[in-house]
Amino acid sequence: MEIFHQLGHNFNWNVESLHDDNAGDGLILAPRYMKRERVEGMSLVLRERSFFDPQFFLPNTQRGQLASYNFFPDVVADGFETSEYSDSLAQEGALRCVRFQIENWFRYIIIPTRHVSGMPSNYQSMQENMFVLPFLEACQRLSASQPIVLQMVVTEHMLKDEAYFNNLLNWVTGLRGISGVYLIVDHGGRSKQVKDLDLLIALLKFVDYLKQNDLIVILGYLNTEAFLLSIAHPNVIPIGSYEGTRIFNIKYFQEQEQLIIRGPTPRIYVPMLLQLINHNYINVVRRATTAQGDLFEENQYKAIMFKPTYQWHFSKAELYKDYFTVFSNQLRQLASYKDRERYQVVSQKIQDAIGLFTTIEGRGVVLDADSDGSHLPIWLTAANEFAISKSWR
Amino acid sequence: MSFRTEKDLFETALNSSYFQQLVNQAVFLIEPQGLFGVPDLVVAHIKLSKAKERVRVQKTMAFEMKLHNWKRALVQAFRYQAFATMSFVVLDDAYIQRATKHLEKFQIANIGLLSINKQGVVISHYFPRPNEPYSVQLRVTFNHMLLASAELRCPESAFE
Repeated sequence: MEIFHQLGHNFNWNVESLHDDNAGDGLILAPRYMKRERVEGMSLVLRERSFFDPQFFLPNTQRGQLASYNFFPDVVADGFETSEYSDSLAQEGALRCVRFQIENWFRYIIIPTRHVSGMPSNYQSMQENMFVLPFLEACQRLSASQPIVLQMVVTEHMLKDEAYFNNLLNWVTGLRGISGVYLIVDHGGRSKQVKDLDLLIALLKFVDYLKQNDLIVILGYLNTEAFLLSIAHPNVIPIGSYEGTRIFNIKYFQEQEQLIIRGPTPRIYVPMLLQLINHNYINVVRRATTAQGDLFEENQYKAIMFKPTYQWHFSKAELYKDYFTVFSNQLRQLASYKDRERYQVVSQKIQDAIGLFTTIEGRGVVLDADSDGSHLPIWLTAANEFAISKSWR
Repeated sequence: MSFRTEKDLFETALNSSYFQQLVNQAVFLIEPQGLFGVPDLVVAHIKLSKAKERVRVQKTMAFEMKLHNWKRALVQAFRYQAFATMSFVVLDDAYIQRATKHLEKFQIANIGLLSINKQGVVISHYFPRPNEPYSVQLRVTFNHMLLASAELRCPESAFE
């Protein structure tokens, strides 16, 4: 299991973290935030351990730096319209995009997807005509040697509906020429942690079925539920800085006339709690758990942040670099376990975290819903149910 | 009879003799921004140096006023302990039983619980012990806020 940085705003922090701190194994490059020259200017070593997500989610919206790519559908078609994106335009776009990915020596070649809501009945045919078939043809024409990976953005409804779930699986496992799936779940991000049991179980099973069909599974846009999802043995798990890279949200790709940006509250990842807590709670959580030792792992970023004079602000790099370091260490420890053993470690860590939250609550600390442990019993149930389906318990 | 809105409850509370006694001889802030959460009311007993450049906080009471959602109010009131020495939830008397059934949660968290009726009668169900605020940084921020506010409306008794 490898850990890739999901790039977004301030992506330099991720690059530095990978390079300087050895946090993670590669990068998921994001044209929405990175100009073409910036991507092409990266060292070959870095490009070889990374892959490029074309981010065609909204093919008619050239948000951010997407306009600098001559294969973005709105650029290729000089104004994208679904009905007018003819075979020849789709083929030309695919050819340019695949050539770009080959010439930059990325680890995988990604077949992009467009974002859809709900459960459209024409999902497969639309993706096939617009992207899958033209891209597979371009890969063949250009003799691509890298593994070809199909991007899928699925909604929670698609995963939770049994018939749709099965249709999707049948479709993707029946596609010739692809070696893997780059899977992104659009679950609406109603809370910072995923607390939807049915969704988590469906997602674990979906990843597992893909793996059983010998497909590479790369997960995108995950928060700390990546820890739980590791029991389905995906090949790549993402880590991201701002919420926009940890929870998929199409609004970051939409044109917005006037975006009111409210800075996020600085949060700090506590590995023993499996939660990112509001920084204002640090002292009170520490005091409540003195008997359990320090919950906060020491590193160079903590040394900066835990100085009494430190001014917490969401725009400070150390917040995110600390998260990358701590969370990637935690995920790396899991990577050494397989199957039942990994499940047992994950389940034990979740139970330990639940116990710690009980201790904290018992000491009179009342954490808000974005900092508390309310997600953990749901995660534990999902892990147990998945383990039963795998005969691990 | 219950309050129709939180605004009604807040206004009745502020005009009640209980709160009038609290705010008298104190500095009070309504919905101060920039702390941890936004309390409805903060009452601070302070001592100011003559030159008004230093403030010594003797006691700070932060209040979260809600019609009936005591759980949410408890979470919010706990945030205020980051800068206040005492923090309280004030609920509509008509719904107070929902909270008093769980009084131990307020006691463990050391959060005060008050109820108020439409006549402005306040009943204390749990009164917390004063504690040191749990965030050094927010205490400093709050002191700056008090200094700025005290220049405008500090009672004479606050001067050292």
